[in-house]
Formats: sequence, C-alpha cells, structure tokens
Amino acid sequence: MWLPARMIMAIAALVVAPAMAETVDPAAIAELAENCQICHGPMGQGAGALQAIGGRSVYDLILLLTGFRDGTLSATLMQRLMKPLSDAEIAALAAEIAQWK
Amino acid sequence: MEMRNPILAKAFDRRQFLGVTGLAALGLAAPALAGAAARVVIIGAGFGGATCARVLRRIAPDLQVTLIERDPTYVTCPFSNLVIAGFAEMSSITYSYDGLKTAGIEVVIDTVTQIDSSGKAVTLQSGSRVAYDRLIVCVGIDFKWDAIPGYDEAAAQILPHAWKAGAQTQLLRTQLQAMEDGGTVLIAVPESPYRCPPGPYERASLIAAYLQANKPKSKLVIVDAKDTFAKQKLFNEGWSALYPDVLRWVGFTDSGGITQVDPATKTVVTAFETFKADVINIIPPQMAGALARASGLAGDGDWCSVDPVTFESVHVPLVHVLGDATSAGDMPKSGTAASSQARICAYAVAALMSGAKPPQPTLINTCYSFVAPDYAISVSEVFRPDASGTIKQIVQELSPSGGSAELHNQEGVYAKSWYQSITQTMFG
Repeated sequence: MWLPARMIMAIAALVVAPAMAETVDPAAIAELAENCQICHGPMGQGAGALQAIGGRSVYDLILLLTGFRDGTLSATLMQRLMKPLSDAEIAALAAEIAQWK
Repeated sequence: MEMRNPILAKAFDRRQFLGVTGLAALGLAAPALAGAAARVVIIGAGFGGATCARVLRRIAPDLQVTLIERDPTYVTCPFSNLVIAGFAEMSSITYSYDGLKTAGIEVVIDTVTQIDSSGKAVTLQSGSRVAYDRLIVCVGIDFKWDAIPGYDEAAAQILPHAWKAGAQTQLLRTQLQAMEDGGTVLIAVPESPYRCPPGPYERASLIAAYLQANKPKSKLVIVDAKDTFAKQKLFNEGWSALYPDVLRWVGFTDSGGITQVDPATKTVVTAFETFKADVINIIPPQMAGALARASGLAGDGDWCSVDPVTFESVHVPLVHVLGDATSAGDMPKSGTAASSQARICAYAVAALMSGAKPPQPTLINTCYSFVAPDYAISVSEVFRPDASGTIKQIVQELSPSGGSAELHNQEGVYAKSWYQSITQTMFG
C-alpha cells in the first residue's frame, strides 16, 4: 500500500514517538554513511553488481539494512557491517542515504 | 500494514532524519570563514588523498582544496596482482587525475620537499611554496632497504618488489612471462605491519593459477617472515583444492627467516634452507613514506600516530595523516581503510575549520582477495575509537569456511564491483 510520506510521518509520530529514546548525532550519521559510497559508488549510485542505494526510499533502506543486521536477509558481507548498528542508527542512516542523488 | 516495523516508524519520527547532509549535518549551513577561502593542502593522490579531496570538495565547497602528487598518473595496488599474473592489463589499473580537476580540485604535479609546519606551508621541488590552513599527508609507504642483507633499490630491478604499483608491476609480469616451464617462483613476505596484509597470498594464488595453466611443471614457494597470516584458513582451503602440486608456503619457524638475498645468483638464503629460484619477488619490510618521517610525523617510530577522531598528527599540529603511513589502532593498511579514513578526516577537517566539533567516527574495512581469477574471499571489519583514544575493531568477520563454488564466484563478481566503485569515487 502506498501512502504519502507526510501521512506516514503523522501516523508514526502518533503511534510510536514515545518509543524513541535513543538519539543519534546527525553529523556522525552523515559521516558514517560515507562508508557506503566506498562500495556502492559515488552518492550510492551503484557499481557493477553492487546495487544503487542512493535515493531509494527510507522504507526500503530500513527494511534492507535491518534485515541484513538481523539475518533475515542474506548477503555476502552486509550482515557483517550492519552488526554494530542500533535501530536508531539504521533509521538515521537510511534517511541520509535516501537523500543522495 | 508496513508501519508496524518499529524501526521504520521511528525513522519518520525525528526531524533530524529528514534532511541533513555534509556541512549542514555539522550545523554549518553557511561557511564560517570570512575573507579569502581557507585552503586545505593534501599531499599524495592515492586511495587516501584522492578520496579526501573529493569528499572535502563535496561537503565543504567553500574550502580551496589543493592536491599535490608526484606522479602524473596513478596505478592502483589493488588489482595489480591480476595484472602480474596476466589476468588484467596495466591500462585497466592506471588512472589520470582529470576527474579530480573536473571536480574543482587544484591538482599540482610536483614533489613536496619539505613541510614547514611553523610557517604552515609546503615547499615543492619546482621551488614554489604552497600555504595551508590544514595539511593532510597521504604519502603511503616506503621500504626499509637495509632490512634484508643484499636487497636494495638496485636489487629491486632484478628481484622486483612490485609492492608499489607501476613499473615494478610490469617488471614482475614480464619476468613471469619469460620464465621457462619448470621454473620456480619465490615470494618473500615481511613481518607485520605492511601494506595490504593478505596481498602477498593473493599474489601467490594468482601466479599459481597462471603457472598451472601456462607452465604446469613450474613451482611457487612463499617464504614468510610470519607463522600465521591474514585469511590463512580460507587461502589454505583454496590452495589445497586448486594448487596442491604448485604452491608451497614456508612459515618463519620452518625457514628461520631470510638472512641474505643474492640478485646475481637469484638465491634467497634462510637460517635453515637455501632457495634458488628463476623469478624472485621480495616484498620488503616497510615504514611510513619518507616525507612523513622527515617531517616528524612518525616521531621516533616507523608509522604516524594520529588522533582517532580527526586523524590529526599527535606530533605536529594542523597536519593530518591517513592511509598506509599511519598507525591507526586496529585498522589494516588497505585501500578501503584509507578511503574510510579519508572520509572521516574530511568531515573532521571541515568541522574544525568552521569551529564545530568533529563527529564520533565509525570506520570500516572490506578487503577482497582473489584465490583464482573467478574465486574471491573477503574480510570485513568495523572500527570505533574507544575511551582510551584507540581505534578499536568492534567487528571482524570473514567469508565462511567451506564456501560453495557459487559463493566464491559471487565474491569475485563483488570484488570487481568494489574496485569499480572505489576507483570511481576517487578518479571518476
């Protein structure tokens, strides 16, 4: 089902805002995200068999990154790199990558 | 519905997730620098320097970035083992700096002869001086020519090191091609730390593949200054499956270490055994590049110690060091590690030059090694500074042992994609 981003945000704010305890430093997340470009090309636009990630939806990116970390999605090495990241870090990372063009 | 995913829901709940990139993320919507553009000078346009220049240009476009490089073209060490073994061409690992110029970076082809840290300027061989507000030194490695008796710069023209890519890469390839079937190739590997820990074993693998296909009566021996090495279990699996009759590894305990090399007779003498070979590749012990050491960046040691958050030298203020020349805690000397450090350093320098606090970094390394041209293995690591100020490895994981041919093949495809990506981020 497709929902406008603003509607999703409104629902999310109502439903789960109190659950969000951990904060992340936006500068640290922008810096962390730089590492993705090493393999996924400038601004994450993809390279060879390595998928384009820049500009994908936050929704897709969170599902992918969380899936790799938790082992519900298989990969050759993404599961290793996601291992230390918290939920809040993954969410912020996804939001950062989603803006890349 | 989808929003039941709690992490996804959280993402939409915080304004800070919705629009921060680069300097904006550092809280610097407008540059805090008045007057003439502040200048960052970067020495060395390899995986560290070229990447750092590109990232700085993107996140802090008001800074002037000058990149000083000795050579007019760059030949990558990554993938040079494929060239040596005849599976790729020199042209495929050789790059111009045109992409950096197009990106707005001032590229100066010259040699830095001196860093004047009190005058905040570098002197070039051409005689000019280039002033900096912050300097980033990415000069890589040099060899300890006195470490192995008999092996000096002249000997390297007969027994190549091929550990700085370029003419030496071509020399080793030419020697392998000229060798008669039934010959012996010897690779000497130094103690740690050195550039690209699994690199010698990838090289041995690919040369073994070349010999098996083209000169099947030939042998390859690795004389190692260590008893264990990077990705050892995975290499051993590959070697016993692919090259059981070609490749022999001799650890330190079994040779006692190299005591003498003789280019004239192509002989390598160890404490317990004397090896004669037709092609000899000596990878010498290493240290930070000469300029870094002469400038006091390595202190009394071989490598440059740095602040783990900013990569600023612990010895010389306003001078940062990254890549193979550093001693960066648990991080290995690899192209990916240098690229990760370069990105963190760029953010830190942009922050410092605008009076902001540099973010707490997360660094990574991913390193692929070819065991055969269509068979690769990998290791990935994640690093963060700990409370004591050391860059600590918090994750290290390798490809699984006993992996399928399909997995090895897939990692080979990804290795090539990694190379395409990382070189594009530097030179594209």
